Amino acid sequence: MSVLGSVFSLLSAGLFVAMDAVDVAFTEAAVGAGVSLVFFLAALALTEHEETPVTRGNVFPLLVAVLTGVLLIYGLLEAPPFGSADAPAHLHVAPEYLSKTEAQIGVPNIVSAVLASYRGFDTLGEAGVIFTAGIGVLLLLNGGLPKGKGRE
Amino acid sequence: MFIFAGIVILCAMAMALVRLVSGPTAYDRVLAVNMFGTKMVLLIAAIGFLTGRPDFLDIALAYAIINFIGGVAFMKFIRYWTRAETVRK
Amino acid sequence: MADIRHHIILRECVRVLIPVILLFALYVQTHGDFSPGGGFQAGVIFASGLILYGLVFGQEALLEFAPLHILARVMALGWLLYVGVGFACLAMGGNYLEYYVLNADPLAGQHLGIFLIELGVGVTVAATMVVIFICFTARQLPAPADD
Repeated sequence: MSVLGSVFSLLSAGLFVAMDAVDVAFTEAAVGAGVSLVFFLAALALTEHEETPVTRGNVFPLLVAVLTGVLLIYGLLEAPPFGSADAPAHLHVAPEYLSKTEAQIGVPNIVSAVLASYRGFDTLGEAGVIFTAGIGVLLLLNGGLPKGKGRE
Repeated sequence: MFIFAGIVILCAMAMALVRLVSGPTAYDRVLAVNMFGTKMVLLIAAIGFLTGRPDFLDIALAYAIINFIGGVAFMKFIRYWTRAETVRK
Repeated sequence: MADIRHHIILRECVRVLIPVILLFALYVQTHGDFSPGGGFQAGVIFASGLILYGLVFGQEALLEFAPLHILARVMALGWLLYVGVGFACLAMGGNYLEYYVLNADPLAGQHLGIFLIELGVGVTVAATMVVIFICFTARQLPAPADD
């Protein structure tokens, strides 16, 4: 039970971190906090209620987790400071998008322009992935395409 | 002024977190999560006005809606679990 | 689940809220060009409105409103809309997903293309989310007794 609470608050924190990116924050709010919580709960309701007691020691997993964290932080030290204008990510295509979106696409929200127009193929693939996920869940959990009212 | 409001909201969020972690019953936790979400909405709105980007209100609105749905789902499944628990005993 | 029928406050609140949620989803969908949000977010919000309906009024009510076989077709329809826009661009002499050719005015063509694509994504996402929710909750044990 408390795990769920922490999951939820962690997702809220994720939104908080993403605060500087409006579209990402929006997605995080809609998906992370809401729908995934509902799916989590529904999936938990399908499983057993008692946890299997852990018999093995949990020192090794802790070690792995800490090591991964340290490595990630070490890698982060090399990253350019947040928001610096000469970060590699800001030098390649971003200026072009930022300066030309208005003229080429005519859409104020540059994120939308990049997603739907410049990177149209990526988004096509994403929509396909979501579609496939839906088909997969439908086939796995419902035993084929349902008829009539849906169940059985 | 918005900075002050933001700090106060952050304090309230911290208190809600304390209740979330220590809450003796599940209902305390649900209430804490719900309150945390409400504070998040306020904080997003405050930050939106602080940085002069009223677009953030959209996110706040979405978050408020989602928070409500999350609360309803949480309560529903908690009841389902307690039922299953009593059935098992 | 019949027992929730007693929760009159929740039911009435939800009855007022759901249209607002769906309207907000449509706003996010159509306003995605100008403000944060887009097809994906709008789809999720729309789906959460339907999920709320299912949570409060029960699975049967939701299935009555949106039967699974229709949802599955809607899911495919969204993606086909996306692919279809691409082929429409091909047919009108451009590259795949090159929206400039959709209209005499290239910018209007871009607008139309982005709008249709976002619509396709939104429809697919909304239908998929609802399908996953229904599949997850439909397998639950028999509904608990009344309290």
